[in-house]
Amino acid sequence: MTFLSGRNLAKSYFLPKSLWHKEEIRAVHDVSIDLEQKNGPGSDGRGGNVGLVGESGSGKSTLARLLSRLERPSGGSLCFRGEEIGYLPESLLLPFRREVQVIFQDAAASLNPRHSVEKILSEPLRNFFPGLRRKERLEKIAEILHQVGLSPDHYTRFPHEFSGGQKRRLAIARAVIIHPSLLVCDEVTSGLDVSLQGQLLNLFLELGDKFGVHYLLVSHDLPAVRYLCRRILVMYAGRIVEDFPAAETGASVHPYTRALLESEPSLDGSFSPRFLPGEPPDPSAYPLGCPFHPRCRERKALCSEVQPGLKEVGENHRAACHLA
Amino acid sequence: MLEVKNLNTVFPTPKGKIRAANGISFSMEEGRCLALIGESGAGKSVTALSLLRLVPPPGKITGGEILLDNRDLLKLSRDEMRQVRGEELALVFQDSLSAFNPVRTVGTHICETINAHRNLSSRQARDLALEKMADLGLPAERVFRSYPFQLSGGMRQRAALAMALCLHPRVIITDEATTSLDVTLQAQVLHYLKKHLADCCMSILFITHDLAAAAAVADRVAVIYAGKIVESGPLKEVFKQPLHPYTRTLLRSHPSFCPGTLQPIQGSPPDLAVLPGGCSFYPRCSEAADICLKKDPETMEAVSGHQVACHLVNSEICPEGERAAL
Repeated sequence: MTFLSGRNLAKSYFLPKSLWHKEEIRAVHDVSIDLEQKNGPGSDGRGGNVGLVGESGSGKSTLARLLSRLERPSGGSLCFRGEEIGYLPESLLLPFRREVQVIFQDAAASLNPRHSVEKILSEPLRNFFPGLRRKERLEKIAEILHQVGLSPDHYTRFPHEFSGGQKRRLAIARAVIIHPSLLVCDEVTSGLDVSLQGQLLNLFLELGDKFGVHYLLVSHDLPAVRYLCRRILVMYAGRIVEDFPAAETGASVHPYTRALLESEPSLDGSFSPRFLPGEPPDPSAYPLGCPFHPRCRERKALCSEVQPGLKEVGENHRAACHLA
Repeated sequence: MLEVKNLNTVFPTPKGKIRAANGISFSMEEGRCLALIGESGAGKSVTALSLLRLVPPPGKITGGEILLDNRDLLKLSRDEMRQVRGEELALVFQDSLSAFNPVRTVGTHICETINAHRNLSSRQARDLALEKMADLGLPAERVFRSYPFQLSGGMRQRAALAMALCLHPRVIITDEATTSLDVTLQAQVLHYLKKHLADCCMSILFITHDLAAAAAVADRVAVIYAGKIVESGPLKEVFKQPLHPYTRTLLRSHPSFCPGTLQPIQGSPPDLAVLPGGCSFYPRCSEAADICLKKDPETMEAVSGHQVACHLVNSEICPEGERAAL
């Protein structure tokens, strides 16, 4: 069942350029995306997970913020269980928030330093289950703390008493305590030690299996995305350029996706010196035609004139490239 | 060429002495790249800063030797040390935005470094800076005139690298220099580092927690845990046949090394102020035996060129006679 679907989503920001002119930054445009519900008890916790990858500035974080309605789209529609929610005021979004939660990259900054763990974790409970008594809330808190690998008697502590990895677990606990269906994770594993990263990825899988939580993992860490997700969306210059099953990375057709995969250092020490030259395009002035063509090794004359649309190139596999 | 022997760096705190580097020894050859890998808090950065004698107070280097061409850097005077920094040992930091002064152009930074060490006219210094930047694949003229905030992360990191390379140092230390970059930019920086290594006879001490990046550039690898090097050897050997349980678990936590389900290390690194007696990895080690709790393992050569500090390896690999001698 389609759970959350965006059609032709767009988001532009306007920067003042001079006194009278504003420059349009098209962070995301013309993105259509469907998220489905497949995780649940007995699944391996990966079924419906989607990875969103791309370079910085490709619009992946903006898309994640649109899908979690932290930003109001500038165009297109966003449907949640068949209902349009793209332009609803915040007060009517409560049922949506109950099912879609976000974890930010900087977990430490997203926890109020003056709130105890009990207060941090009871806030979502108060919002969404106002009828609960304190005793019931504490039971739920103890359960979730145990679930994310923290000690249940940590509820009196404050954020500064935890290590970096524990703070991330706390942020995850806060998001998962109301059992949402979708967890939007913006670069949650980047900048972490390998050991911590591995622990978190396994925790995500476990929670997906137990509570049926689905993940939208925004990351530039390809190994992590491949490990957690069944489907990978590649973004470039505010658009989705390829959508393919994570198991078939070898079958990717878009030159940008292949360049991304090649840039990943291989482990046997045979680092291929082929890397993507140049920089991502300026979001205020995308090149005509395919936005990737100035950096593409295989470009043809057509690429600089006509922008390719996303089309089927195989089973569950779409790409926006003239050469596909 | 560069040899570090039994380096000890200590930070006194109210809780007790933090031994951030606890008897670190390694050596580097010319034209080679050594990767120093470990979790955060293992003492990687302190080692880098100790080599340059830049440990921030109250931290102090309390013992050991840092030999660069048989000259002990710890015995040099302050002025002599200033000459060594930049000229013979150069350091590139993780966060290049804070390494640059925001109100000065990138060109000014590089020329300042050159002028501090060489007696060159401003024209010559400029040419040298432009040449180095072009070597790293940067649009040299534009970057020279730019302020740090005007450059993208990858370009800035390469500019920082150009600044470190402009005096042809013997050893360049990169402290997590590629960690915060995108894969594509990381590949660019790694490519230029590797190219430079081949072109000039320079050695790199590549400090990272990213095993994949280490695999891409290094020939040798040293794994550091709680201020000690627990395993070191040729990269391929260590990654294929890790001898220390810590290295094994580290590899098992990385999605690209471990095809099935990840088996990350549980727990977190020990508090360096109150190190457990015996082997410091003992509390997290799944294979720990009684002896690990009692005695700190000594570093020993398991296979030629491959050192490890673990009791369990001794019993498996060492012949009886050698073990008795230990």
